[in-house]
Amino acid sequence: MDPVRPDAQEALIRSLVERARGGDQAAFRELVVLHQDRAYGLALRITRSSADAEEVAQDAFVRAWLALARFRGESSFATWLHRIVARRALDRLSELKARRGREVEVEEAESLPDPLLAAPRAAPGDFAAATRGRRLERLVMRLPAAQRMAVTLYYYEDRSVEQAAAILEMPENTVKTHLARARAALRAAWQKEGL
Amino acid sequence: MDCERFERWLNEGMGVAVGAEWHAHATSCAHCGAALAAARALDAALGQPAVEAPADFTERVMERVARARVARLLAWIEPEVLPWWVRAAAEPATALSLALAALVLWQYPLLARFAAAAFQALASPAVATFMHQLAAPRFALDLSALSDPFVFTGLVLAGLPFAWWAGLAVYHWSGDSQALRAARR
Repeated sequence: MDPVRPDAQEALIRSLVERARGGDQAAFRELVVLHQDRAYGLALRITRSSADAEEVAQDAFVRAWLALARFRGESSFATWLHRIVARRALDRLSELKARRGREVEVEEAESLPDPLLAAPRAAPGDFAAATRGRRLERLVMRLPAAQRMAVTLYYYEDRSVEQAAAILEMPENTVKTHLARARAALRAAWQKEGL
Repeated sequence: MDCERFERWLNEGMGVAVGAEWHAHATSCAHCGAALAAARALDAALGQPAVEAPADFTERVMERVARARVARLLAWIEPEVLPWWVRAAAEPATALSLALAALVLWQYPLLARFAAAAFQALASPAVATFMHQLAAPRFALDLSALSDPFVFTGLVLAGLPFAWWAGLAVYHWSGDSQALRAARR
């Protein structure tokens, strides 16, 4: 995606949403292109599986397309979309937990194969940053689900605590608590691994 | 200033402006100094987007969008959007009940004859046996009305709304997200 000023980007997205609401699939395609990385990243960090994340994110986009007529613009399109992604990912996680009888343990997360963690988008030649990003992704994946979701929305999706609370349907103080615990855990792991 | 307060400040995201007291503590305490450096590096690294959707993601979504005309109809019965009576009317069980009721009203004489014949052939022996079992004094219930095919058909029709309601309740109960409730805790 080309760098675009934030206000111009917002105006573009509003225009695309209006066209898509009228049934313009080409406009919706542009919306998918603009939001797919973040939607997929959110789903990946919740489900911790690339296959599940892809299915969840695709399903969320289709649901968004079907529900566009009811999108009243009270929040941004991204916030609305991410709420759908988060709900679908949580439902998927719930299905998996029910199937396995228990949550994926930390040890399992540590043994996730590399392809499950997408390669960091670092500048060419910035190998150290890429490696660090990859290892940090791994640390984030090891967090409990609620902390992982709070970190994903707050840091990776640039959501405020208030927005994250709205997406996760949690009180703001609960999100703050999850973020504080996640920071403590990540910092400890960061220092331990010497990143 | 103590290490515990300093760590709490780090955990809360270092949101408050850093005063001289905090700097002094981070300088004098090696543990907190390292923690501060790690927290700053972590903050910077966490801000970097690191995940890309698969290469054919857009095309796959658009293929599914193109196939979603049927799903568009289903989206109308999503729980949070429409009033309960609209959702109830859109339930398949309601549509089936209404269709059945319309059929009964439309072809009542024909269906009544058919019901009477079917009842005579199938249900009467079963009801008779059942009533014979209940004929003991302690169960002196008069269920003879059930042998009337019109009463029998009416009871079946009256039971349909209850079956619909029970089905809807089970459907919504089973659709609740356990993971979301766990996350809220």
